[in-house]
Amino acid sequence: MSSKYDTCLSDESRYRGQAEYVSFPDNFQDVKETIKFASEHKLTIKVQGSRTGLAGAAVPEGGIIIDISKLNQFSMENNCVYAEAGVSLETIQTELIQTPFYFLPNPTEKTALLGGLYGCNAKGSNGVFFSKSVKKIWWMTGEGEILEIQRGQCIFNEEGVCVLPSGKSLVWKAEQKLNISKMDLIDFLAGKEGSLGIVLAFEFELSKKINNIWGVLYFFSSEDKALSFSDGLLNSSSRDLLTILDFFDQTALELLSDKKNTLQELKVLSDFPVNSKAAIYMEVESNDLDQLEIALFEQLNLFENLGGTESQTWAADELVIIERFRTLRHAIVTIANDFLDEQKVLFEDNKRMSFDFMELNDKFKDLYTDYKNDVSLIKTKSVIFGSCLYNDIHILFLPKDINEWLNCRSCLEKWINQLNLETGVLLMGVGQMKKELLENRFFSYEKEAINEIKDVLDPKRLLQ
Amino acid sequence: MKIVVCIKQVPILKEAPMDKEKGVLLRTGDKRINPCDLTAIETAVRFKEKWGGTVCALTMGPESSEQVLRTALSMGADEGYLMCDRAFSGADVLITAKTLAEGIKKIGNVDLIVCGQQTTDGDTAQVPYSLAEQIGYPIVGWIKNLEIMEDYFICYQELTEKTYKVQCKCPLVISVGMSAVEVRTPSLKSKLLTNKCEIHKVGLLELEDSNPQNYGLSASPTRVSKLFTISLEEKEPLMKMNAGKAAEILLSVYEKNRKAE
Repeated sequence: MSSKYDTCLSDESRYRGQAEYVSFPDNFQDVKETIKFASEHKLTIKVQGSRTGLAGAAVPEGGIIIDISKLNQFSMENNCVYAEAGVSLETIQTELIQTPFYFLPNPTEKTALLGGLYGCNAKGSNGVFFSKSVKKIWWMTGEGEILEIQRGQCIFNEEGVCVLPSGKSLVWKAEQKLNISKMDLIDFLAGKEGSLGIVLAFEFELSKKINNIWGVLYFFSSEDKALSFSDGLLNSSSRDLLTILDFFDQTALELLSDKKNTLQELKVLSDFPVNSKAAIYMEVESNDLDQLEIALFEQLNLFENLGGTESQTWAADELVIIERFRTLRHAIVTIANDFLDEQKVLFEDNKRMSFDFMELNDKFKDLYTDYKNDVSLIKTKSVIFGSCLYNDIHILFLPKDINEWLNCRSCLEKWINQLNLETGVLLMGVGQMKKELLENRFFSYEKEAINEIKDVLDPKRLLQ
Repeated sequence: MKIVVCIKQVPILKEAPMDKEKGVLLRTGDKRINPCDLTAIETAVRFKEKWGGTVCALTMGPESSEQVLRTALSMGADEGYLMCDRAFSGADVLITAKTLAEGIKKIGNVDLIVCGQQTTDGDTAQVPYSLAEQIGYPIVGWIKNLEIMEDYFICYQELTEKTYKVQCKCPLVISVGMSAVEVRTPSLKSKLLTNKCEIHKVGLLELEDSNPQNYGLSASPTRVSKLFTISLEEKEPLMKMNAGKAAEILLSVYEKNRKAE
């Protein structure tokens, strides 16, 4: 592989792999030919989107890379979209400007491709998983067979059997750990990071645009106050109007302030109010403007009761400004990655480490307190942000030397061993970063179950 | 001190669709405030904060343009004027400026007019100049920075790759670039309160010149004769050489020009 394709060897995780070939198919037949080539030359395959993933799921481990970015056909009829896996979020957003529809799962990284979103089962900051809006997929198996899978057509039964459109059956034999009964195959295949096949295209539904959306950033003099405020909102009458309720810790605000003049997306924002130690970003939406305004006045009351002042809020009802607020989440990740790149000069093994988890049966405040305590013990700079609405927490470690890095890794290992995969979901994919750490979490019969599925979908074990 | 800030609602588009027959932009889909106009509002409000007086935000457009006026109000403007009349539609640079000039006359006794340098839809950067001409005020445009003093202000103009420092007094029209000032983000309270404020509607019949023939598409002298996409073709280089040789030629040209100066 020529050195001009070096960028294909890593992704935003900063992990780096190796490969012998890279292929850029622009139609399904090309993908099939590539699989045939890989099979004949006994090469394994890594599928890549725009390599925006943070866990290293696009990093190749030898063999051939299939870059899906040229699979970019897009068409739309009313609210129903046909899009190939290489269509980016930016393209979708541009196509929808002139329509009364919008793409509800709205992750903040606009260059991400649909195939990548599905491959790592990504969700937007509004808590909506892309896979849930998908009605049909075109799926290529490791043998080069295209399966057209319609939602509702292939469902796992109580015995863990799912009949494919080709007539073959998938059998999930693992006990208890993953409740697969009644699961749609489209949901099962989401998040498998290209290991069970290559998603080629989607049919999915768009949502109708809501007339009124407001985004408000509230700044606080302490993290405790921010968490109390979010609790208050979750118990208020405006709870049902909330679509985003994000928390940013003090380190997150410090990083954003430091890079305000260098990062393009931050340049357009004002300086944060002085002495801001935490922030909550929330969005509410409704077709009823009066209802929305009542909810916002109620929020303002709550904020002022916690000592907040007018200058500590930023509000917008124009989508363009709201989009600027939404970029904060993504900007933190960019800044953290830049930080790690700088530190790499100091020690070579500074691979990215982060923990992204959604716990359904817990409160964000409690999750935050637990993780924050652990982080404070290892005395290493870390950023914590997440959604108080969907209980997802994101922790980015920023180690400065190898000892700090090892401490972070122990912390990550501890959390992965503790997490309850029955009530929670690991976000951002498994990739290279968590693969090794997760090894111990899977019981042997779960690994066997995945292997049996692979026997049907990828019998030659071509797909990495 | 009365300050008018002229603002506009524009389509959120990378490539705006056109009506090929009329040669005008189709204003469908989602819209937003013109980005440069946020700087214009901020500039106007800073003048008010320093010198006192009132800021009137003025826009011409459909009913939906009320939203950009509310944005201006939430940032500190005191009044919003919406020039909305079927007769105004389809105006080119000259007639847009004329309509705004009529609106400014209607507001009356204006000392300073602040405009954003250009819009993302028309992108001509000519409206402020035409407006100044029609209202009879001098203009300082292409402002990249400004300092407001006690009874005058200093503008830093970016013209032909040089920066000019201009000391200014009112009455005046100024057009400001995106970087002229850092734009504030409105607070929740001001957004909520200004959402209830009254907006002054100005129709054709309320203007000094109320002849419909003088407005809109029919009065606009600009005619779009043809719309087409430029096809870019890669050209063959005039000379082919290695980097060392190219550097040598460039240096010799530079030396020659330097001596000539």
